[in-house]
Amino acid sequence: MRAIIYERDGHVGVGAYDIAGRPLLIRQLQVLRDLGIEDVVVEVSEGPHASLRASLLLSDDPLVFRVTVVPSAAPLGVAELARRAGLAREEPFVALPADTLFSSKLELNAVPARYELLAPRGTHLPDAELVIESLAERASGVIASLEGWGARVTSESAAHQLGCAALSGVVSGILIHAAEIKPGVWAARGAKIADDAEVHAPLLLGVDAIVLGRARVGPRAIIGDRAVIERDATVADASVAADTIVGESTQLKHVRADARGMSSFSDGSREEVYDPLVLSARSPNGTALSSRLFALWLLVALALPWLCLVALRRLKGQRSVITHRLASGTLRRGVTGVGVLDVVPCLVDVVAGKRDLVGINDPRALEVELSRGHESPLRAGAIDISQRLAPGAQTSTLLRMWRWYAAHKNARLDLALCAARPVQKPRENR
Amino acid sequence: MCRLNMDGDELDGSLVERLHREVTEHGTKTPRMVVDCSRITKLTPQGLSALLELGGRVSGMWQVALAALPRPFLRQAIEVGLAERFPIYTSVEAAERALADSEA
Repeated sequence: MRAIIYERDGHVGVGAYDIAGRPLLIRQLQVLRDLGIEDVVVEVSEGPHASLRASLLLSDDPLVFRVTVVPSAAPLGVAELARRAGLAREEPFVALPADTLFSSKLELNAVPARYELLAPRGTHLPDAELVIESLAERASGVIASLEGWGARVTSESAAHQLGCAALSGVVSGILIHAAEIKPGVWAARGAKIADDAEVHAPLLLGVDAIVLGRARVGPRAIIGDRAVIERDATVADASVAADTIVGESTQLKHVRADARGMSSFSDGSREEVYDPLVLSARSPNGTALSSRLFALWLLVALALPWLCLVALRRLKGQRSVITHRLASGTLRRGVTGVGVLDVVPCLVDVVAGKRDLVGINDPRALEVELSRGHESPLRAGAIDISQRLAPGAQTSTLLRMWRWYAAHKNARLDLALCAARPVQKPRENR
Repeated sequence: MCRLNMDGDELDGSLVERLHREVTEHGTKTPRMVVDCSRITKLTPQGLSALLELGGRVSGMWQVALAALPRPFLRQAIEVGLAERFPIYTSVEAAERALADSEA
């Protein structure tokens, strides 16, 4: 039998929410695998964390080897999703909403059937429902109860609550990928806790996470892989994303924090934090050393001879042709798209690490949603390739390609884009 | 309804241009077309953006569905939101069945 995981209107992207160290989507696949269902169709609708969900489902992980991904612009509904996946009309499947996690022994032979699963005791989560049906025989009518539990996870807060319930043993069936070093305190491979740090259950420390001296972590805290909790910081009823540094004396409560800010558990609102002493990335996104060295070489190679020539001409009392043409505006912009006047300060910025050698300088690029899941925000570059990504394209296409560039930026791609011929900026038609 | 094949393995601007010509040519006989993308193994940013632009141009005139995208193509299709321009099916047969049902 197959399963299909379908998105619900209003809750697109919840599959990326973390449940005790793994995304909800992965938890769902683990549950289905335990039931013997490995052929799973998963809908990925446009929306938050679409790229992250795609990277999870289309990776080399054996868990997703037999997963079929169906992209959609908006939630398709069970029937249309089954059609797009090519399911035959009589083929039965388990229809699981993308916001639902459960642990129960399903009777897979009873088709069609509708089941209700009660939320785990001690949690304040909504109950769950799932169906087993086919396109020819849709489930409707009586809802049967099942042993076990099921819950709808529609927010970060709900995901955190369910994760903590698993850590404290209230909920069964959720695999914790860590060792329980004391009741309710779980530490993954490489996690380190300073001797004078305080830890309180339930708590999960991810792979290579570090808790420094006098920090207080827990209760109900989930620390992501490679996160660092610095001295005197407090994290309770909160979660910290992977690769995030929580600064000294920072207090986090009822939030999910990452390197760029935090989202409140109570209302889901997001606040950006620009102070690196409070929250920062463990691997900051900076200009590559190779780019900085190359820019320095260019500066020396281009600017030094020109400066010497200008100085020599001035000593002789001659007017510099180049500076005259610059002043009169007759010197054309170079083939890199950067005016000759701009190239020197741009290269200085690259050497100083304030911009990349190749990047996107269009201010509309700042509108690219970071919540779409790409790790590296766009940065300005000495060489602007914003129009080379999508020659002659509409703004809506440009914005999508900038988002794509942020996810795929590397030296080889930059070189290929620089080598491409530049085009005139297209007129806005929409 | 008709099936169109991508006649190359690299999605670049020229391949999308050829696809556009085929869509226009077949569009005079049928409003529903399925594009078999199973041969695509490499993608260029210019090809992706051209395909996005093509989707914007053909929507409203014809029903053009993409089918059988290989996994690397699928991942990048999700990253650029290609599903907002074309319906995407896992197989050519599923797309043909669905478009035939809508025709009926």
